[in-house]
Amino acid sequence: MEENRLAAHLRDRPAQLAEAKKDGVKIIGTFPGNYVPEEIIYASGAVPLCLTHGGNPHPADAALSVLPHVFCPFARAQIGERLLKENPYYSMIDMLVAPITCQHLKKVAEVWEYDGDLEIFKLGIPHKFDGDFELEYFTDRLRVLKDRLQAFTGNEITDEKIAGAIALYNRMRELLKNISLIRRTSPSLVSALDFVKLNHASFYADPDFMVDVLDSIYQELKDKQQESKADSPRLMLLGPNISYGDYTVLELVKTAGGEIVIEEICEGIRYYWHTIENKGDLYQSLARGYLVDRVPCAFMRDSAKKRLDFALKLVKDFNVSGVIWYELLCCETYDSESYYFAHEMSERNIPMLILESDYGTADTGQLKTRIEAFIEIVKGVT
Amino acid sequence: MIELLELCGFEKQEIEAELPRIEKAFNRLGITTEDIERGKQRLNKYYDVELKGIRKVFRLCVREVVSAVLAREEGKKKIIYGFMAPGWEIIGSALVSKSSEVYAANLSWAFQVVLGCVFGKIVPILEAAEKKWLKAGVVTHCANVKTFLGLIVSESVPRPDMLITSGSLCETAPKTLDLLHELYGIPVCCYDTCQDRELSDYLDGTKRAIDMSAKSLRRLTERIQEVVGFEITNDMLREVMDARGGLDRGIRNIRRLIENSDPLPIRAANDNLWTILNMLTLSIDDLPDAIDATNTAYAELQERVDKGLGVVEKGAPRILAMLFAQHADPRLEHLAGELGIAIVASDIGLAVPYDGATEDPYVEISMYLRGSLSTSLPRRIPLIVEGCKRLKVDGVLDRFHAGCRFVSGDAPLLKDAIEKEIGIPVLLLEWENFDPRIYKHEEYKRRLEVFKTMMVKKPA
Amino acid sequence: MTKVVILDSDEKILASVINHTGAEHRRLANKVMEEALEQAGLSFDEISCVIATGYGRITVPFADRQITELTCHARGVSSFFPDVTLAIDIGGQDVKGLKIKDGRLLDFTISDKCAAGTGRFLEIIADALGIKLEDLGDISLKSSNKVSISSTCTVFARQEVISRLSEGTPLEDIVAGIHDAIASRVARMVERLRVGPDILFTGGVAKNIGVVRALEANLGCEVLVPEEPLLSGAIGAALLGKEITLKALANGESIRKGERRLDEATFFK
Repeated sequence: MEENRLAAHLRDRPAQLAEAKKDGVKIIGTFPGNYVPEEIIYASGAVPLCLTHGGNPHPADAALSVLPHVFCPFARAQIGERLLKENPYYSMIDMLVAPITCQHLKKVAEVWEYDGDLEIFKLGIPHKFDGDFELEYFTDRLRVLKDRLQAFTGNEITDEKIAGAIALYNRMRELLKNISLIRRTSPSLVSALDFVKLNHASFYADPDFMVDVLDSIYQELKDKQQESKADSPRLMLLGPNISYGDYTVLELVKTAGGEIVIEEICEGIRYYWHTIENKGDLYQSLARGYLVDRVPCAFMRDSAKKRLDFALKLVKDFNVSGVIWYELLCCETYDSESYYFAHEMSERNIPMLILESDYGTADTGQLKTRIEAFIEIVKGVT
Repeated sequence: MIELLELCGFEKQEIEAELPRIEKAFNRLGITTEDIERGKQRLNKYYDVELKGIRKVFRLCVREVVSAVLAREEGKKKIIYGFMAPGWEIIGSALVSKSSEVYAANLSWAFQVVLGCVFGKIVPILEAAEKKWLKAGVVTHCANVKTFLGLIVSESVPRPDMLITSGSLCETAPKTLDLLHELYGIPVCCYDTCQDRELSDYLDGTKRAIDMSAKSLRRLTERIQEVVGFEITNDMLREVMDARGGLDRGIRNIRRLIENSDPLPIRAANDNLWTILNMLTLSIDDLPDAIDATNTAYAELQERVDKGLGVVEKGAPRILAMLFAQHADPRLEHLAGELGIAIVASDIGLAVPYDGATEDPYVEISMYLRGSLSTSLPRRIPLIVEGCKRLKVDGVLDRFHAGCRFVSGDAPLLKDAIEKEIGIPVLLLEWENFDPRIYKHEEYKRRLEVFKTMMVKKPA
Repeated sequence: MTKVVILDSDEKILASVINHTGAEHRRLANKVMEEALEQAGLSFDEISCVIATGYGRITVPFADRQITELTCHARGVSSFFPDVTLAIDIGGQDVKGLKIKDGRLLDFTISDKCAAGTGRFLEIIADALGIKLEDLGDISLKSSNKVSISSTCTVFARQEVISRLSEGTPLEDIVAGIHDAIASRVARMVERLRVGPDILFTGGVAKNIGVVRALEANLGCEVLVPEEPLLSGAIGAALLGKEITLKALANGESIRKGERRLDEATFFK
């Protein structure tokens, strides 16, 4: 089955990439948030890897010798994964294209830059995503990225190659979106955990292979679709990111009898809910698609209402009866927004649960109580 | 109250004229007679109020606070607050110089001096913010933003017509403004730059960042013009910048004198006052008072230096303390002095060399991006190491402001670098630059004492 | 603490037991149940429905349902105070705020990551000051000049309290200051859940009159304290059990999932 094929592929992936490296292929890492157009990396003949490991407190703690605890556990986990040298993905990257987004990930890029043993390109993401000259700035930087990658890989990046890459990644986006829409009618066919893992797989797997797998999965699922009788309360997960390995909340919600039918998270929906226009000046297209025509992340200027409106639309479209807000400890922008979202959800009588995590295993019991109480609120007890 | 105002540099005539409005403002802020007593004690205990120049700075801070509280009822038709907005002191200054109907304040700084340092009463403001979206707890929101939000939501200051901030130094401030807009309907505007400078092409990257900041500032000015109803010309900005030249020089001279003097001629807590003075949006008519304060203080300090008078013994260990002095609570600086440690400088005076001579005032304002606080980690560490060497300090106190992800992230690696390259001890003190509740006397005393013993004076 | 409440169908309390849990007793929910049954003069089979709640709810193998203490408390306090919209529960280990409407839990907030502001915190402080926990309330009421405690951490607050005492600060002012520190922290925590003045204060710490007054001062309104603040959760659980039973009877369903025996929890063996 497709899941097994994918699992096997991911198991072999580090070895596969090590082989590719021997043939001179470059491995280029990015961070989630989906502000780095992977298309450009793909078009250079290099392998794009979106580094998303997290959930495990060990690397996050290991990073405390380098970054104080006021940095979010995801950022510290990135530092820790590379520091501990146990994770092959983190050791094998030849270059990091660092999206300069929030303060935490920016600091990770700076620390690695200071270490001096990794090629780094900082892709500045203008925080005013809808400004007039900001789009120009970002487009310009994408062209500079292209030049850097050409020099680094030794391969020419033609417009044809970019167009081909956009087509491939657009296909990936479409498939992820279509599978999400299947969860709207038949959430029991694809659990939240399965879908999140599928999305995460797309960050590490070979993109062509991934599209093939997603297509097969989609074909398989679409025939099985049927209107489900809603027994479990339908929930939406909102947050910065669920990292690869940070599945406790998803598991606890499932055990407590809740069904998360859609996630609005950093590395998720904002990426695949729209496609990139594949014509005209492709760098402008990419810039517009990645910066402007998408739901902004919380660190962006004037983003709170846009994010709220999008979340409310999802609540309606996916018939959601409760929202779980999952934030990482010390994320100042999300934490501030949680107040706003809680206020607005409360006005509309949509129950909302706010959870915080710093990947500690001690969290589980406390998370469980909160999640169970929340399900009791949404579903009723009697 | 009169004694307090005298300690704050008010002369008899001014006290007579201003007392009603000062009392009105203080009442509005909930300042009691007990607080006034405490204020006098604190001024005498922590600050060198025997220096006229120091008293003059307190006067300007008190005036700022009073004007802010009473702005609306004193006829200001347009009120704009800026926060964490480098360059706002110039634009705001231009606004108030042009029109007496506009009140433009660089919010929170003067309040921290008056409510925090003088009266020791900033905590209720912080708590007001914590009741909203800047909650207390492990998330460690910066108390500077809490002060700003707290002043607005507690209605200690009138509701403004516009709020301004920058994302160049702070992520929390723009988000707070976004929420103030959504939840309170206050118009807001941010200016930004991209923090994507790479070590390998730092100067080009700096130029790119400065250009973007300048563009963003120009757009900000257009928005402000819509609110105030008049144009903000380049000439207006230039006029302010020229007038402020004397202030920049005055503060620089004082700090240079302190860096180069042994014994330390003035207690470290006072350093905060120059930082704040620099940020007040004084009109062109009022700027001379600020310049006068610096010149007076400089002369008085020079006199002390000439006489060999110091607040710490001669030959005391000299240290660089990272970031500014505490804005709302002088106890740490005071403690260091009591223990015989001379804080001779902070890193806010350090800047990356950049030759960007320009006619454009927006580009010039954006030069703040050269400063240590705006510099990315790989470039900032060597900058500070160089600074330590130049200042010939015996140690570094990195009281890293935990609420600020911008600067606190550099602390551990900075410590390693300094200890390795220069061999002087670095004390890492997790700190909150704007929150007095963090102060733990016994713990800090113990650590500073140990730190002092680790500092070996090199033979002359 | 382990508490058991048995209600009859008129919602009258037939039995109530409050026992210290301890490490050993956690697997002996059945023993406490037996004590309650004896008090009520009932046999186990006469109980229509058993609801387990609280941290140890999984160690009650003879329970028909498990419901979180948050939902149970909301129901329980509404039985004392039908108009309640906010319940503040300060227990031994945590602080909870419950937003309630018509007996139903709408929203909540929990502070359970550290001891600050909990019953445990007060135990430590009482010990540091050399006084009995139950005397804290009355002592604090004598104060007219409470001190300001700046430490939010239990360990540092304890140090601060000791050094104040050695400086000669009157005991009542210190205790009043501690109560105020707790109250102000809690008031901030529950601010976003507030809708009106109908606030209830429950949990073990609600027995401390000093904290009650301090909470009222910080909230700016009076709070109601139930007569037996330790039983709200158990009473709520029993009331919810009644609702579940009636609904099951109306639908012709069984409440029980399988055989139910009054046994020890076996997975600790």
